[in-house]
Amino acid sequence: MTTPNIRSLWFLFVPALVLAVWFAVYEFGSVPAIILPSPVEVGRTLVAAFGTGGMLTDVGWTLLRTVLGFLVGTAFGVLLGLAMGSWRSMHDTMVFSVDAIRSIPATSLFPLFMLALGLGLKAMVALIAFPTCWLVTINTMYGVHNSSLIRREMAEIFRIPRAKRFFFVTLPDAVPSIVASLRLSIAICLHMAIIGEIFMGTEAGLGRRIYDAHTLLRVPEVYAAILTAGVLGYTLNSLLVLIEKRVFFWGGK
Amino acid sequence: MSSVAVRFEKVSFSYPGQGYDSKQPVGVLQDFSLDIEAGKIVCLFGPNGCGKSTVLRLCAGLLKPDNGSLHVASGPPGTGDVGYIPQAFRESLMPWLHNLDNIAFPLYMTGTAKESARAKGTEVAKELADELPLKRYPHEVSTGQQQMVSLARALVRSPSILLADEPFSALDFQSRREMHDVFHRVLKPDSGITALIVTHSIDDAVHMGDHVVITTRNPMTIVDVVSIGEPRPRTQDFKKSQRYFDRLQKISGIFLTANA
Repeated sequence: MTTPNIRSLWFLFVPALVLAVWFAVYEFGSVPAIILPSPVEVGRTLVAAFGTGGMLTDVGWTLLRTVLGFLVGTAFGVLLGLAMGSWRSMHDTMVFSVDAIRSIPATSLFPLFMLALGLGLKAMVALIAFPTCWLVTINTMYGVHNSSLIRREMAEIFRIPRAKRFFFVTLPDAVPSIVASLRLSIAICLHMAIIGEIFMGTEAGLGRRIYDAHTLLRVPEVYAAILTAGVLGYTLNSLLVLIEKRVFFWGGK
Repeated sequence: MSSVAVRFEKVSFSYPGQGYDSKQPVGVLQDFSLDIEAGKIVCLFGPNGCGKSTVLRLCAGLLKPDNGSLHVASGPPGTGDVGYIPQAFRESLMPWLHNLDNIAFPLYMTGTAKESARAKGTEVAKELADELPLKRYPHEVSTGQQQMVSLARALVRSPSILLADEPFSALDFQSRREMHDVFHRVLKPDSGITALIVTHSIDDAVHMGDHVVITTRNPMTIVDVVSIGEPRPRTQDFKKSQRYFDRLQKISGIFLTANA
């Protein structure tokens, strides 16, 4: 009974090692505290930030922007991807443009988004949704293209009407591929939210806090915000993995 | 005078060439003719790659003949009440549906209420096997049980014609014997079901068929039709009889001469 318990804690080995090295370098190394603050101080800053420092508000705003951008980008991507996957003419019309447009770094478009949509949530959502939507488009399209031929043939033999065939045979086959792309995109969405917050004058957000703390040389706070962003990203990813395993369990079966 | 359930009349079919250096169409059938009497089990026995599956896919309406006429259940293919078991039966089941919904799928996708479709599915499954795990998913059950599910799904709309592509070849020795018995039970003469079973196993052909159609390839040609002349349903005892071995030897003789 004890062996599995110890094994289940093995994942803590590398983080513990990193923490130990951090301590050692801080105590005995010659790295200036402006680059590497003490882990204890970072911890204390973290607690204070969540207590009275408004870190929770920052997390809330970053999460809101990430999720909004994710939803908009995903909705657009799934619809376009399904259309391109299902209709040959749609694919042939759009594939060049999609490949071209998704090659544009979203960050390079941010100034345009701000000009067009104002310095607010809209520009931020556009920045976050942009890269997500192409990633989801491509994966959805391939999901439909790679849906099982034999299952579609069975549906044809059963004489199931076309629309039903699409929703009950082709689409479920494409879903695992779509959900896999959602996992990739949620990470990208968080990246873009942080970039947007650093770049645009928002009032709250993890990116904003990282940038402000950095200009004021409050390095422990920079570290605290980075750790928080990391935990947020990990949580979002874990949530999608859970959904993938519980709800869309048939991938690769 | 018994009626004809499936009629191939001078059917020709070729696949478009997809070869690296040749776009020549690949001819599979040329002036292929075959009548299948209603209520009979006909086994199509031939070498790999001769076009047996193509014949079934034509019957199912998945392919259209280039020439000639083909009638299945007194209509053109794709319109009649046909049950189909593909060779890749495992992949043909929907992995997101449990076994019962897989069986009921053809019914509730075409207008039957889900509950009555499930009731009918349960009923058909019970006829095939006592302990088919209906609430499990296809990937959670054995290959033999997957084939049972696939057979139940093919039978759920009470078809008059059953098309089965190598239904026994993926099964181990024991589940193959069981499946032979199940097929004989559901295809018993008073069921009125006509069956066309494709096989490359001579044992399957002799044990199952009223008639065994022996073919050769390029293009697929019927060499001979051997009548087994053994009443159905047959039991495992038939496999131990001299009559069984005689048929086996006769067919293998014809097959080997033709495909030498």
